[in-house]
Amino acid sequence: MSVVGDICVRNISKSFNNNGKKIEVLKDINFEIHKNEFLVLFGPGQCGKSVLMEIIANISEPDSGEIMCDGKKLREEDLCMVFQRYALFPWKTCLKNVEMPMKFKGVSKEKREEKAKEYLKLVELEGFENSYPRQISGGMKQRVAIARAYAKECDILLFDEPFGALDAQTRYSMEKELIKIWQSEKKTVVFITNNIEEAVYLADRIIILGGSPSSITEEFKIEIPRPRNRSDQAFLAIRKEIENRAVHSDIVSG
Amino acid sequence: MTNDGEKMKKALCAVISLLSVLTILVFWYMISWKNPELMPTPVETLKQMFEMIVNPTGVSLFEHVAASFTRVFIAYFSATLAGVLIGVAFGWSEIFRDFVHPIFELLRPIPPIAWIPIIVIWFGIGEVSKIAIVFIGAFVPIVVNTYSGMMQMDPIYEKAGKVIGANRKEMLLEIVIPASFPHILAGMKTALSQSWACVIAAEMIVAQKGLGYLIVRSMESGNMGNILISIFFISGISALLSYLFNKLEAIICPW
Repeated sequence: MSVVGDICVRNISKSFNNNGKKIEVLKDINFEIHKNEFLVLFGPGQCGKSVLMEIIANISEPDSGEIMCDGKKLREEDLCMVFQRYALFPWKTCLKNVEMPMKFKGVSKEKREEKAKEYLKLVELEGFENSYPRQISGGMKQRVAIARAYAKECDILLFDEPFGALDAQTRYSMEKELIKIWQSEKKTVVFITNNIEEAVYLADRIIILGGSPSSITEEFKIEIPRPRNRSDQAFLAIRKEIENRAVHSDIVSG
Repeated sequence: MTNDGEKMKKALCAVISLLSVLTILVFWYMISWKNPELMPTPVETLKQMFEMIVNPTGVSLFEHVAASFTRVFIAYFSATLAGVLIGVAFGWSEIFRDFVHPIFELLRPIPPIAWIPIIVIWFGIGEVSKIAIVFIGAFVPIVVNTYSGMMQMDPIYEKAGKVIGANRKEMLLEIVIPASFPHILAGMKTALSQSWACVIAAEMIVAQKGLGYLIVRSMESGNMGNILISIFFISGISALLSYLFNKLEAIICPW
């Protein structure tokens, strides 16, 4: 049950200082994130997608612009983020990692342990409660990270190339599961990737970032019903179209 | 097959290690047999050690060991406590760092034993002085490692902590300190061998008891056997401490 409505990304610009030289990364980014939609931000490496996501997550400050929600500044407690490098705490077991967001919220010990077990079950990691992150595979680590993000029980989830470091097979099953979880417990999702196939498989809508400094170049609505099939005609057609238009505007190189 | 091969290899390694110890003993025996004025033979040394334990004249060997050990124990634990606190404060509060760091950097390069004259003048030759010298030796590596552990923490832990809702206090206690824990333990390990070295040095100069004192006394009376025994105990205890520390580390830092 979501209480947060649409999110408004307004006039976001950001530049970095590199040895005294100012490098503009994001310029005047404007878009909306609709409630409960699965939005994919697509763009080449180093285009500033992650910077944009960190700005939305309030980890990083923009030079100008703001992230609004229902007419107010977007609050940190309404969102959580999943990182490409998992960012699990290696000193805690999987269960304790998942418990953390609830611990910070002041949920009682018994209650949060029970809930954390449920979330680990949701990502199909029953039996790994007492494992340490170093003892499990990359795909499993990312599942724990997703369970941890869900455990915050917030309305907005941000994913920063979460499956970028996984092998293709693991990636496919993770994508499938992520959609399943998202459909069972709807949230507003913003998902970053540089993989067109992944974008088309997951998204309700794809926003393409490109150029230097980056701005929004294209937007696609994906209306293929779920579960999607990667070798489906409609799937391939949209994929092709994005590829063409992206290549056309110099988004995908090589 | 492979299992058997591995067993063989392990056995061989053990034999080689044993040979290394034997080689030293043989050399020792040869030297002491030809030049009895340089050092007593291994057997004589062992006899002398038993004598010191079972039938001591004056302070027994165990009393010396206990005296050194107690000093290390008290100084090491208080240095750990103070060192971690100061190190964390360095890493966490910029104001504290800016204020105290220059003082710390100025005092840090002074070898702990160089403090002995000042400490003796200030605190006399009692227990406090020896403990203070050991404390200085242990304190510095713990502060340095704790601080560098906090500085070197992967920033992704801080980001993750922030997005899952940690406030400033929780960030410090639940994320930054545990993340620095391997560094803190490394500092504690250095500090432990440092403390042991410092206690011997301090006792060599100001003490009536302890292994450091025993070495100096034996030197003055030309008792090579006692010097050797003290040295064995110093190295043996140091090895034992670092072995115990590694065991403890595996228990409290299992990731």
